[in-house]
Amino acid sequence: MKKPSAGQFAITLVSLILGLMLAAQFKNVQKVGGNVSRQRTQELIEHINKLEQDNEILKNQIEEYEDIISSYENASKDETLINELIKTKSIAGLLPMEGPGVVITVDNLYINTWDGEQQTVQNVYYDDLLRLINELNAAGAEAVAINNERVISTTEIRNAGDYIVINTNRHSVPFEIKAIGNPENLEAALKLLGGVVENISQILDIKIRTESKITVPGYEGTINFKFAQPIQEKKS
Amino acid sequence: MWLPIIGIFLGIILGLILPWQIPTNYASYMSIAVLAALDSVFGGIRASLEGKFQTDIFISGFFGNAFLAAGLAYIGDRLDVPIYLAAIFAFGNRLFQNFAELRRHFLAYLRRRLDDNDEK
Repeated sequence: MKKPSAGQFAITLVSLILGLMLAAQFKNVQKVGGNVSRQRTQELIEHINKLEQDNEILKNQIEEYEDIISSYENASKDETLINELIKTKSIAGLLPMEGPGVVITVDNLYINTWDGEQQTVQNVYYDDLLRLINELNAAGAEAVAINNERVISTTEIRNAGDYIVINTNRHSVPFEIKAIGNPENLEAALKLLGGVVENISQILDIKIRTESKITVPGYEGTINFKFAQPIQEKKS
Repeated sequence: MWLPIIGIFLGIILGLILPWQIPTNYASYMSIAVLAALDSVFGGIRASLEGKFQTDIFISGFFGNAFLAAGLAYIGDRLDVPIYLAAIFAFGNRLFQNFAELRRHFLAYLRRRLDDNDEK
């Protein structure tokens, strides 16, 4: 072999740089894990973060359910505790209920315009429903649901665009309000002279029928208390 | 002939020892640059075997190709055109051609050595 020329020296130098690049690339591939584009990596990271959050929530739920199960296990020995649980759930509106009551349907009232087209007088507004429910509660309704959304203490009824949101679900006409209670009392309360129905029936199509047996579903969502804490009163 | 190989190994060892890291953002461009550099080195070895080696062409080709390839890949990413595929194809192709030439030179060299031995 002849003496290294300037050219060979240059090749050596360049090879050195190439080696450095190779090593850097090698380390990078080891770190990132191969042929994964950066965008994809970011997507996956976001995905993982979201799943981890979901996991956390689900874990909390599992704990809750485990508490419930253990409470059942404890209660199973004790008849009064089971009854107490059913009673509490009934009050909270978590159990489906059945009994006599009234069914009210609320729909748009249509009139014919001068050119023969049908037009609604007025859309159902959230306070129409609220007033009906208010009246029903005042008359002693024990379980109320609108379009099978059980009305509980946290239930909202509000307009959102073309819909009315009840228990965070969107609903539109026709609305069917089911109320369990004394049918005659409920009907009478609604049909009072100058009462709710008389007012509303001028702008909406509203029908009331009494039934001997209706079913009202339980509340299906989850109720989380983040801020409210029950106050335990100590018995002295 | 042996100096480039020694250089590569020295470089790899140095690179692994030194705590340098390429930012993950630029890893994909680095890979293209590595390919271009590999092609240049093989081209250089081949040229030196053919006796056509010119230092300035080699050095400029090495850095020029590496930066051009990485730069085009970067622009391609910005424009959503997969230019890096063209770079991979071009340099990969040349890499294999260079290697084929090297093999031929090497075999010819071996054959000459054998012939020399026979004559002795």
